[in-house]
Amino acid sequence: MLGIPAKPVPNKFLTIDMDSASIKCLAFFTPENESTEFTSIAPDTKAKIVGVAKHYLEPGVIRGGVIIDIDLVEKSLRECIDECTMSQEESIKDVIFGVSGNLSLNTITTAKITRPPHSPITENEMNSLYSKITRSAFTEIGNEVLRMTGDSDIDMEIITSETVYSKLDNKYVENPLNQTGNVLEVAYYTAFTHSYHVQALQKLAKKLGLKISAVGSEMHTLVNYLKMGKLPHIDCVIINIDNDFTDVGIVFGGGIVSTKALDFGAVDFVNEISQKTGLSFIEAEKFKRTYSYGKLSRTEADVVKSCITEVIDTWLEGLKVVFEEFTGVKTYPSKVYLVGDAAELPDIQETLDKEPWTKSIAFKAPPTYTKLTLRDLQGVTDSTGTLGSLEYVMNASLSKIYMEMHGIE
Amino acid sequence: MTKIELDLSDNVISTIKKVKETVDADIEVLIPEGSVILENSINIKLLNKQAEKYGKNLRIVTFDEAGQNLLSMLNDEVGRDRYSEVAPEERELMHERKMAPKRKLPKPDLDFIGGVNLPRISVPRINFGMGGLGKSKTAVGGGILLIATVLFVLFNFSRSVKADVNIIVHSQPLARSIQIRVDKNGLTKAPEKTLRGLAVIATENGTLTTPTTGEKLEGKRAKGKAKIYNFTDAEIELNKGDILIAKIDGKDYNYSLDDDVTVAAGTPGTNAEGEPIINSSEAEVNIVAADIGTIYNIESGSDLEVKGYKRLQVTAKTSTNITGGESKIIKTVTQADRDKLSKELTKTVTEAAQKALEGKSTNSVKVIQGTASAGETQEVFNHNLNDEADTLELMTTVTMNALAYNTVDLDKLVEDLLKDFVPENFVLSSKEKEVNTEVLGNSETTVLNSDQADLQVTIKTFVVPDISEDDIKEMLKGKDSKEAEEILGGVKNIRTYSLNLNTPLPIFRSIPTNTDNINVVIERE
Repeated sequence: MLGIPAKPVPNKFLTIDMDSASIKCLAFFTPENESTEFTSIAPDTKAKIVGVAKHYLEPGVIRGGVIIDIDLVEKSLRECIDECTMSQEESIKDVIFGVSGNLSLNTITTAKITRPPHSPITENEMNSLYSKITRSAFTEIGNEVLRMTGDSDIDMEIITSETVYSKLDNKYVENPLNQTGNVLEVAYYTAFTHSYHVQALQKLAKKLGLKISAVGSEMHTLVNYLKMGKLPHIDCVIINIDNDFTDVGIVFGGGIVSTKALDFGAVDFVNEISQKTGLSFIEAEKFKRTYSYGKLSRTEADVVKSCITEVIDTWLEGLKVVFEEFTGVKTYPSKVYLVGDAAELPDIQETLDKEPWTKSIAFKAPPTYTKLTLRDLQGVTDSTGTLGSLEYVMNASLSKIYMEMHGIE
Repeated sequence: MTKIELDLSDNVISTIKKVKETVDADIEVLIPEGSVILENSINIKLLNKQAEKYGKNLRIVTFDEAGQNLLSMLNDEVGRDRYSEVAPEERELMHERKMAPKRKLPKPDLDFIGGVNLPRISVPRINFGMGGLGKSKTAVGGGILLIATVLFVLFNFSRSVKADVNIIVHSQPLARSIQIRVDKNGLTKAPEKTLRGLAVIATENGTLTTPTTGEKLEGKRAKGKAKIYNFTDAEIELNKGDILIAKIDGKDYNYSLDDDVTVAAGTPGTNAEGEPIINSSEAEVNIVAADIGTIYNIESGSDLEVKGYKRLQVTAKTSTNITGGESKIIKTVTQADRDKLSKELTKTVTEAAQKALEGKSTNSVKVIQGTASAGETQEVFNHNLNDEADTLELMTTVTMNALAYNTVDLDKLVEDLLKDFVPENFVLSSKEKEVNTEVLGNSETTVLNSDQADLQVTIKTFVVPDISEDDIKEMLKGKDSKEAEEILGGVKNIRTYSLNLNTPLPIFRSIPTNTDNINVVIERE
């Protein structure tokens, strides 16, 4: 993660997720270090959500995840944070920004070296290896950006890195340091984002008097939550249908091998409802949400269904294109996790289940779909009672960064 | 062609809608500089895919420098000029390159036929009048010969016309990953996802020799003669096997009598002082050492005790050299020798048999890794246990069994399993099929042994229209080129085609009737 622990260690922090349509903010409380003003904290609670807010943005303020009008974003973010923390006695300054979609590029680089078998592995040796791996990851990501955008001048910055596994003489080792062996293999995960995005976030934080604890990949933090407990070497596909993009992550052995994004998300479904029914965007959004919860009358539900049928077909075509883009993946894990606002639409799961969309995509077995909720984030509880949807799961997963930084297990 | 100029606010969804709603089939989309559409190549691919779905021919142009680069890279990726990276000021040129609804590959320009000057053939005038018959005979004969020659040449030319037909068909990628079970006792059945297994056997033998480690002492017993002296007044009878004892280097060594012997009683007499004594009687007997070894070789005259008698009563002396005693250490076969050989050789031969099994994989038969199991093992030693031998040799024969499958059977199974995924009028491409098999191993849910094995079969292929080269040949033969093009244009699911007539004379514009002269190549897009 980018950033260093704040001092003194506070026990509240914010996680912020911004996309072209909205800003989402969650306030967390970690009851680990001191007694709490909350009386109803479950014993296994590591991070409790104590505030939530979402603000829609004017069109064009953020495009493709990139901040275009920083003043308007600052205004909206300030209002969003105020709303999120209004029940808190003191202001919360520590903040973790999440990065996803096209702004987050993830890769695993594996390096294998042959070394003197009897001399213990030194810190210098490891540093040199990590340095080589990082250079290689930079090259790989540079090529990926070029393939994606045609632009070779975009500066990228590492925001998250983690060793996925280390092997000495083909045996897994927790930490190869000071151990002996002839062949050392290290798989290293790195997440990158555009340098200008990091600079924009820093500028924004400065304006709002916030202290950035980290800028992290949301997909990575979600996977780290999934790895807790019994799934340290999980193989899965994660499809995050967020507001303005669909992010697909391929996970093997607990490491994200690659991510790709489709510029198509929940907002596009809402726009369709809005355009076809004449409702305002906000009204259409409420309509969509109620439809997702199955609370509309049958006639109303039929209207929503007919509005989004065609656009869901297009979304599915886009999803197929995304899967075709993972050139390095031979077969896909059959376990598919769905998350994100639009994943709640019943039509999404229906389409995935019924359509033979995997005909041209090599899944190991027919895919099975599981929707991820806050309950899947071990140790995270919600005291606001407003987070029943899948919309905030990615945002909430950013809390993992804070817990890792402060040694909360 | 309709031009759509996008706004900065347009994203891929709104663009797809605009393309769909445009009536014209040929559409040029101008993406503005800084558009979000150009930030992700997937947008362009999706846009193009949806346009194709709606039957639109799309040209994408942009001012954006990185966007132009992106379009250029996508052109390279698809191997043709599907996306245009040129800026709008060059669009005039681009209009000329617009795609037709069914784009044809460059085809030979047959229009030149009308403009070509055929060689003039001058035919001599034939005079059928009676006068001058002699001259006309020559003329008639020459004329007929000439006509015959021309006809012959034309006939041969017409037979040498060749047609090259190149067809590019629509295709769809198809990839599936399916778990199947290979069963030695089963049949290939798609519903059960079972594949007939084959038993593969490899027999290997090897020989190994090792020095023996057992030891045994072997030799001969010393023999000779001894005289028994009887100092008693009674006759003594000694039996074969009775023991005589020699003191050699302070130790007692036994000899036994080889025959029965009787020694007469001693005879009374007096010594020099006149005192009464008994003069001994003697008898000679063959003796043999009790054990092997050179230590038993003693000289003649050596003193011997007769076991069971006091020296004063009966005594003995060797009357000849006792000789022939010898001993040496002999190597013998031990159980450890046999075990060692068996262990080492079995390992080597088993490995060789496993390699031999692997070597039985061919293009048509694939041995499944991990299914090898040891069958019969035969061992033949050249010596039995405890045999005297300096070396022991073992010949081992190992038979290994494994499970294999026939790739033709697998192809058939895959074809059956994919049947439901192949649209009507399409078939699986036989040319570009990639089938990968992965052994799933032994687990709670999968098996791996020499009788059954679970495999994950991943197939990547294309579905292509159900059109065969022979069908096309039959349809085209004898047709003139225009008619042939109409036929090709009417074939379902063809994306493009080209027809090339290789004709020595432009007057031959028909497809040959001999199908051997029609070369049809069907490729997927």
